[in-house]
Amino acid sequence: MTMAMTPEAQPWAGIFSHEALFYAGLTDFIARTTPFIREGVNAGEPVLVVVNATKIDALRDELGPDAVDVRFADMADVGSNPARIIPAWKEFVSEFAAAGYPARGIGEPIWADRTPDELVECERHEALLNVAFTGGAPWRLMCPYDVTALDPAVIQEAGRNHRFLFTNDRFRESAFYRDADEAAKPFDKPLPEPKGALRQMTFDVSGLDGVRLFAAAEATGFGLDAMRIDDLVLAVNEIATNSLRHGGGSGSLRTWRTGDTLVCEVRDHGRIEEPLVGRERPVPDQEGGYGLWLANQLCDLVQIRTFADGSVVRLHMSR
Amino acid sequence: MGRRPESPKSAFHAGTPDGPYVRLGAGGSLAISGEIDCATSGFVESALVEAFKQADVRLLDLTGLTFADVSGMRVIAAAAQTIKDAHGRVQIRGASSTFRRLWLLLKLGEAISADFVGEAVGTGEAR
Repeated sequence: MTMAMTPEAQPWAGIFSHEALFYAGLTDFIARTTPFIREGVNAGEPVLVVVNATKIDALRDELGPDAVDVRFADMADVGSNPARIIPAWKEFVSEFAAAGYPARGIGEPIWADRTPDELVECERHEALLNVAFTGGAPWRLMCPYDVTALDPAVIQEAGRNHRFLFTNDRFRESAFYRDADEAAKPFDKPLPEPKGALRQMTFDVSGLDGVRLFAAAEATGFGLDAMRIDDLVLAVNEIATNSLRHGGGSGSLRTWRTGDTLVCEVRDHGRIEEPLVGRERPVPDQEGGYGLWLANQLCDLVQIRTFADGSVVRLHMSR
Repeated sequence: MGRRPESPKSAFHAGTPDGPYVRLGAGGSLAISGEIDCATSGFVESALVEAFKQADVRLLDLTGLTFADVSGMRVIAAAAQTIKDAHGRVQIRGASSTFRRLWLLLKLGEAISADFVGEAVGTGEAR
């Protein structure tokens, strides 16, 4: 049920409050986010703002001296691959909120220039924030959405991924909120079949070096620079290793090109049940859990899907 | 391409021509070369244990290391920790830029403050 409420009611108190802010253009963005930031600064709360460089500059100007009490990070650095954003927020929250200090953040992972693949993964990221933080330390995260630039379907999806919606001056609970339990279910949204030329191979435990040679040849032929070839080869190797260890001992690798991006896809018969896989930094001495996390650090985008008969991981690398 | 190495027969050199190779050198150096992945990291781990039994290792020479996945990095990190425990510091020579970056990404340096010596040459990945 949609419930209008006043900010004075503080419905966010004591919980992880995931809030979507719907704004119209840069001027409105500044006007709507500045009070949220100032409120935190005045209350002595740590505030982290992760948006693009233009908005950071505009917020610094608007905040004036208060800006020194605010941490800023460029979303292009933190979250070009949206799977890297939750670890960044976890680091922030573990530093403050987990110790009992209230904290607040602003994060804008979705903007109009995101590719269709990126957009899907950004929306998945928004859903997984509820899995990552619900039931943990209380803090507020405001996610701005520019209604003048984004597709209405994106705004609608924001209503499902955020418990609270802030439109104009109205703060309300979303009637369509998809809670953490729902978001934690295996992600089986179909991936589009690639168009154009494909190359593929199968592998088993005796063929990891062949997987690396295949991936390196594809990346070299595509024109990636040396460092990104290394990154992609390492990422493919780690995902193929997961297939050997958890996916039935074998798998297949397909590669194709789409615009300026090379995609490497690993399929196997394992199921990925852990929703936050690849989004939690492994702790020292941890035996597993490195492969997808590392792939997210190395690649521009990682898409993970689990179906009844197995799993798919797509690694995207642009030149 | 099966290339599981045989168990090390000698601590001074263990490995196969197309697999990873572990060799003790002069001045307490221990060279690890080739490619290390989940199929070969167990072999390298065993070879390193043997090497540490036979010599007072002070330096890891990775000049010939062309690939190390996470399992390989962990084996090398364990060797570095062994040296650090024995001598208070550890030197790693000839590590590629990719190795150094992975070392940072895995935060291995937080537990083992290794001194990387020598220029980071090449990429260190399989081709």
